[in-house]
Amino acid sequence: MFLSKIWFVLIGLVAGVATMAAFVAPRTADRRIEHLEGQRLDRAQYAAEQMLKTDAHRWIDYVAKLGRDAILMEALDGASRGVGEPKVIHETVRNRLRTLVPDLPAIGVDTLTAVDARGRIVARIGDGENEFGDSQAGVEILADALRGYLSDDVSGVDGKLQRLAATPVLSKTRDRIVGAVAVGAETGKRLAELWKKNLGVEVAVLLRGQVVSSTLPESFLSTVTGLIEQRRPEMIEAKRTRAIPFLVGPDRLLAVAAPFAGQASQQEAYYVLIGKPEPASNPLQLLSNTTADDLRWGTFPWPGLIVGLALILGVGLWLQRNEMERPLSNLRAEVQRLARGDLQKLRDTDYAGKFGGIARDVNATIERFTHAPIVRSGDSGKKDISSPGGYIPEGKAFDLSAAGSHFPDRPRTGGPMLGTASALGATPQQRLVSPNLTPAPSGMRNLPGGPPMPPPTAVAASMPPRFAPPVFSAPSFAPPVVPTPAVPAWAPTPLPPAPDLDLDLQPGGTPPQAPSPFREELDDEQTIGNDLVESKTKTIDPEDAHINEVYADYVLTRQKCGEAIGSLTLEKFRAKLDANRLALIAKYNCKSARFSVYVKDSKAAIKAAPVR
Amino acid sequence: MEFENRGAARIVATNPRRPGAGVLVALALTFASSWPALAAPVRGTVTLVGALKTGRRLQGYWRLENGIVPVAPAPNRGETVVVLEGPKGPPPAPKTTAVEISGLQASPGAVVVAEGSVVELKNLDRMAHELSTPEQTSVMAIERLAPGATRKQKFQVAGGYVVRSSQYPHLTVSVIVVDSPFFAVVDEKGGFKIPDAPDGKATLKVWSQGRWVHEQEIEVGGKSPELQIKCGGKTEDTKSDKDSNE
Repeated sequence: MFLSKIWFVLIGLVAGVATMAAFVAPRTADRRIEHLEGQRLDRAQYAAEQMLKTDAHRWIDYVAKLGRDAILMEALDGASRGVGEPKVIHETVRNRLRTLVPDLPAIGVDTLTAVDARGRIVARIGDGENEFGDSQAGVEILADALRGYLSDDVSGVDGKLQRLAATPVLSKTRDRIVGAVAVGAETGKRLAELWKKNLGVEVAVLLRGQVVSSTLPESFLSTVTGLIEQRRPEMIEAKRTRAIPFLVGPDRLLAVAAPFAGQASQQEAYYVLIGKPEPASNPLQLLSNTTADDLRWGTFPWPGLIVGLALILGVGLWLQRNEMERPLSNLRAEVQRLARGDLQKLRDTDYAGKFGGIARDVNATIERFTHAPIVRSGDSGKKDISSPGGYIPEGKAFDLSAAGSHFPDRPRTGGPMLGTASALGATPQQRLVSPNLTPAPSGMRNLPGGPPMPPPTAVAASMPPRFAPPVFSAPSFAPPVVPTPAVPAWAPTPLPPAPDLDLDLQPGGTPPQAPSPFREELDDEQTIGNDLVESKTKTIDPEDAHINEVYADYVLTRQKCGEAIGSLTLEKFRAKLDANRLALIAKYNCKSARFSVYVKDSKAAIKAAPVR
Repeated sequence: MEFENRGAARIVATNPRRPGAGVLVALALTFASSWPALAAPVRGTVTLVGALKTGRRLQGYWRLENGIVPVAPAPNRGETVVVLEGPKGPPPAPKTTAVEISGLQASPGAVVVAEGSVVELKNLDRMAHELSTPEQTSVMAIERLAPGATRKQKFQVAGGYVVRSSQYPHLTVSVIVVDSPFFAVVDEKGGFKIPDAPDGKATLKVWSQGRWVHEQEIEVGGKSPELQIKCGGKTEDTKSDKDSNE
């Protein structure tokens, strides 16, 4: 399962990375889009600058044509030389200008101005048409024209932005400059609409912090003016700004600003190009724009996706089968064989991980329920392993020491006994005929230091059927009614038929001691005393104790099954089990072997299990 | 101090045997202590090149010659001034200087005044002008000057100031406030002369078209050759922009 976990973690990591990428990638796309939009605005600003230049040249060409008009030449020549009545000259020039430009709004002209060689107004069309004679020699574009230059300018006047173009007017003889003509065109709404149409950007024209014209609502521009004000140094240095991001409500916009040329540059007159990059930060919004072409076989990497998915699923399924299903089915089959009795123990070494743990637990449970020693330690001595689940049924507690007395030549080792025969006041007969059937005092039902024991039926019911031990009833532990013949215990008796042991235990030898009807004939006190003395002089072997217990169990089981036990002796039994244990040790390289008695085909049988 | 000592020593050396020498020496020392140093004129020619030569400060997108009649040179409106910084001299007395605004231009275009002087700005145009010193707003706040009205503005600290009309940015008046008498207004041919400049090192600065356009270290004294100063170019512009930013 280790690899399955690794695979699951890997898939989880890949899924996490993919999810993160799905949410992060649009942000980088946003930045890229914003960058591209900034570049687009940069190009738009350059294009706008070129359009301003082209437009300026167009106005210069236009005004140059006016300056070549003969009537204007003559009138301005007269005004410059002081020949003629100023008012007459004024009207002449004004009328001529009206004739030349009959419809000013049609061509976008706001004002037309004609000055003499000293910069005095001769006539003007537009505001103040009747006024003349005032000097405008200081106006740079007019001063330039009077020096011989054709030039243009941008100027903010009375909250309006005007584009100006001026040309010198030469005398008829073309040897001197007699005046100048200037044209002024309002630059605002017209320019913004033109740029929006041609450049595909929103446009705003600012003059001294006020919006002169814009293709965007006023609310969008409230923050723009502040931004431009902050970027003034940059604008003075570079004649433009970089793309400035700013927020208007939920909208993220970009703006590039640049100053107008001429006097407008000193009047804080700027044009602002505004773009709105399309956000891509929402993956769902991105997906909503998916088209069928995006999922076409040649466009979308379907083969890679299919192969990848198949690989992921295949590896996952293979790992699951290899690490879970196969060992689980093997374990189940083995447990079934165990239940059928074909196996004595699970091959726990064949399983890895938790399956191996389950197998070991099952083996431990089997061992515990089948051939756990009666007294393994001081604590375990509190349990009567002859009872199912190792507890003493209520009212049926027995003196375990009596079991020891059943095998006087194999004294017990381990912790303190619950009580000796003498301590419990058992009669010699009781001790002889019943190794572990001496009724314990009522105070020993629940042994001190241990939890209250559940009834055996509850334990059996809580266990799997295969592992549930047989529920022993009190009568089964009742001492057998044995006649008391007047013969010695050691006297040979007719041997019953040989027991059918799984271990191929052959009957014969000395008769069994425990159920011997002759034991009662002995000097009980002396015999037991000799046994006790003998047992004290010998070292108690746990293996022998185990065999004794198995022997006792076996004898009881045979009796219960109605089988004869006459030819069965402890020595032969021990010899056979020792041999079998050695064989098991040699075969399985184990420390020892445990034997258990069970009923097979209504007969007592013994099976062995290696102890590692 | 070096000039004073040298001057005194020269005087003592030329009058070792005359009677009443002690009196003369005392007079010489007194004279030397009151007169800073030996004086020499600083003269030269200022040549404006590049954008300064055009006579137009705020250019549009195009400026084309007519191709028929030769273009006239830019008129000199007295807007180029040479100032010598470093040597100390008796500060000029503050006075009131009048500047007329007519035909959307100021005349004279530049005035050099002493610290504490008053500049009277008379509006003779038909339209009002909103005048201020936009680069030094604390000196002269923006204020509407009605046609025919006069605004008096006092300049306390030495330096260069530009008074500008917000409505007509080309309309400017350069006010150069000095704390010494060593300055000169460049004539039509570009020539200038600063008489009685004390010997020694000094910094020569040129103001034209509303900004300092040139600055150089010179050695005053002896028979120094006539200075040939070329003004204009990117470096000066950049420096001016940096100064204004700072």
